[in-house]
Amino acid sequence: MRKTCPGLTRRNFLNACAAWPVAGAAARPVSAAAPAAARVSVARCPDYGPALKPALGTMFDQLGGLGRLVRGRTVSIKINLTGYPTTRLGNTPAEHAQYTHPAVIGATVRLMGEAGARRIRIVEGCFSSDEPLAEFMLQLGWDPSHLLNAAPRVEMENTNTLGRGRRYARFTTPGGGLVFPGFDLNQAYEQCDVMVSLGKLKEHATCGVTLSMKNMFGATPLTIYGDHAGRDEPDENGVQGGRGTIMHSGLRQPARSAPQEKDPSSPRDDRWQMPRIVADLAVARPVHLAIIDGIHTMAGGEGPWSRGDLRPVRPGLLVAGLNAVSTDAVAAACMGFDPRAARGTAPFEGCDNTLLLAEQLGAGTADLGKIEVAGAAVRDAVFRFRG
Amino acid sequence: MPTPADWIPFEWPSAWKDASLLKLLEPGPLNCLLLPPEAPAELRAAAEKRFECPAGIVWRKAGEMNWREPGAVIAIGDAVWPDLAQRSRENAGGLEAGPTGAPWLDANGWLIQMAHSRGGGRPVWVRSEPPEDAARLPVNAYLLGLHEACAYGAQRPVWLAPELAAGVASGSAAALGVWEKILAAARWQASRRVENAWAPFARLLVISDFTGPNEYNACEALNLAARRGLAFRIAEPGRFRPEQLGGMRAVLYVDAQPMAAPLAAAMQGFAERGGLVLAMKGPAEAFRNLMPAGETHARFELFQCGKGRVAVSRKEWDDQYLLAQDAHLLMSRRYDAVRLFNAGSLLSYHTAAPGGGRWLVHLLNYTRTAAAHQVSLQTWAPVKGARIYAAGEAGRAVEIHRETGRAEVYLPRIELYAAVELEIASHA
Repeated sequence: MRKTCPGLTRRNFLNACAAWPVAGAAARPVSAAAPAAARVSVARCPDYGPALKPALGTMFDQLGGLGRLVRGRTVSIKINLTGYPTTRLGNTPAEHAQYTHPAVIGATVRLMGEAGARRIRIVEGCFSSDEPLAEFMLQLGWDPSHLLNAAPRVEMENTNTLGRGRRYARFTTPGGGLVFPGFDLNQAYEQCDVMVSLGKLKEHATCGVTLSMKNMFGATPLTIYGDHAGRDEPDENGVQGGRGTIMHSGLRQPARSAPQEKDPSSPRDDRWQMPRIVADLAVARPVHLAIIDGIHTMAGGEGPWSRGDLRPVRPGLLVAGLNAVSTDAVAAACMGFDPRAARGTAPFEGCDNTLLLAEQLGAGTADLGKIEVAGAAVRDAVFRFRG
Repeated sequence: MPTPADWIPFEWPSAWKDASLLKLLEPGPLNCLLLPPEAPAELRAAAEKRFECPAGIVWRKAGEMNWREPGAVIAIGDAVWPDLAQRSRENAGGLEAGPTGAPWLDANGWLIQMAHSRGGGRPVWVRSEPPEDAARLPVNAYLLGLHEACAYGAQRPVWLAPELAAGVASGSAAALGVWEKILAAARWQASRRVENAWAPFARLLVISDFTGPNEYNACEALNLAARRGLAFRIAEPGRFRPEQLGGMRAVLYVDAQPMAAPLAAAMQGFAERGGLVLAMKGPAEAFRNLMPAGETHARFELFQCGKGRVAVSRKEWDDQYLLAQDAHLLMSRRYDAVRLFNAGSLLSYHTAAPGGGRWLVHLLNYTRTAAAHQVSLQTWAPVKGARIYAAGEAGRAVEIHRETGRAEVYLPRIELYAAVELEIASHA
């Protein structure tokens, strides 16, 4: 097992530093996140039962300990609730296919509480909805009180709108970005000391895979980036539909109050556009902790609406790391894919490789040879999503 | 002799002049004939010997109904043909979709519920003007209309397009095939009449007088609440009884006028005991001891009132979709007794047997074709057993899939109608 962290470049370090809010950064340098930026933990976990919390706890210990990361700090956890809450893959509950499972969310929140997190905010830009996140969960049949009571001072926010904030937070893409030089997001993504992406182990039609980086795409508010977004300003009443018009298809620009596309003459092809936007987000709003729920999930696409050989699968895997690119690279390898695969090769048959694009932007390394893996070895953890 | 509650009506085609055609009704269950005024005397005499032939049925628009007027039945003449609204608008040269992208539906459930509530217990009948393409009306359109009315405890008199009636009378095999399917569906629904009369199970009470300026707001709020799966019961201010608040978590007081003193007192008590009342500013002035609740909402000022809350609209209701949504979310989906997944254009109507030990969830498919997706029904209630009654079939037990805190039933493909009966373990 490699003990070095070659993924930690000066650029990575600076990007990680940039992720901390100004006040937090002054008070707490990112010593917890940056040195182990390329370490990734893999664990086998057969189900969402009692073995889950200890497994996650061990993984966090392998990453240097949760206390170092969250003690006394405000944490935002971006979960993945993509698509309508009432849409299922057959009869499979969404949390066993396309959604982050509430047990993983709950165990993570509980462990963070035990590690001394001062405040924990669970966030998601719920599909086509400005409803409170708790109500969105109730529509799934989840009881949000289990999550709200998993630790002291737990909150939830649907980040499709301003929510509790008075203005959107501007996140600038270092180097100007591939598509967007910056993003305007709900303040929950700024007013936190620790940003966590808690995604799902899945393939994706336009990004090849949707893991911790693609999960952050759902942070873009529908008021600015949604199908019915305002033209000049965010439209707080325009929360309908998804992000197809602006982000996938590039048929129009986001609300003018937000950073506009660098080059509107670039291909209007979601398989060109989406991997680049995800890579831009990975450096504009980097995460300090990436967690991927691959215990029960789906293969063949990112949701029941995807085209392909869709099926529920049970890889029984959890992947976590302090760098999203490296975490996603290991997770992709656990899915049986080459994380450095070129366009035209699975899972990037029709799109560019999001991981390599993010790597090129300095977000981290997707080179398995440079990533230290703790816990289960990748070769023992592989669950082939294809074939 | 059957009472009006037992009548299963048939609109005798005006082209059927021959009394011998009465034999078409022999298998039953149609036992009540609505004869056209021009029906020949011989036909009328023969019909009256064997069937109920009420002459005094007066069909009125719901908005023009005198709900207190005596009569054997409440006969609403301006119901809609149940269908996807998009399909019917396409036929008329337009398109419509809901704000969420989900298709609008032309549905009558809310109207029948309102009629039951306002009609003082009299049987409710609905009918619609013939659709523009009546000659090509598929059999499933007839059947959905029949199932929809029956599911809500009402009747839609069997009606045949003139072309179909002519075919049936002439013995056309195709037409007779449609006729037999209609009769079979009516027969099957007749066997379900006791269960179809169960009362709605809901946590929201909608109060309105449904008149004048309140009518549109109240009716649209009911229509859109039904579409979003928000179950409700209905009360009128002038006939309100405090026991109507039993089991309720929230009250939507729709009307702009102040509440009468007894109703205001009941609302005050309901809120103080932990309920939620939504009202416009005028009626909300009746509440006492309100404290700001410390919550922000775009369209409501929220106040604490004892153990409960009062939500006062910042302005008059002008968007009934948002009104239904706000009522649902302020009350909370926590109180949805059942949830459907992959439901698409299925509408559900949830009722409970007297005593509450059995629930019945009626499911109507407004696409009129079996969905490609598998539909699941979920509840947090402690369920002991489940049976499904698919249209035309005997009831059969279905497996209950249990996960922590919830039970689910995986439904078969529903082309038009099915009902899921749940046996509830504790319903005290």
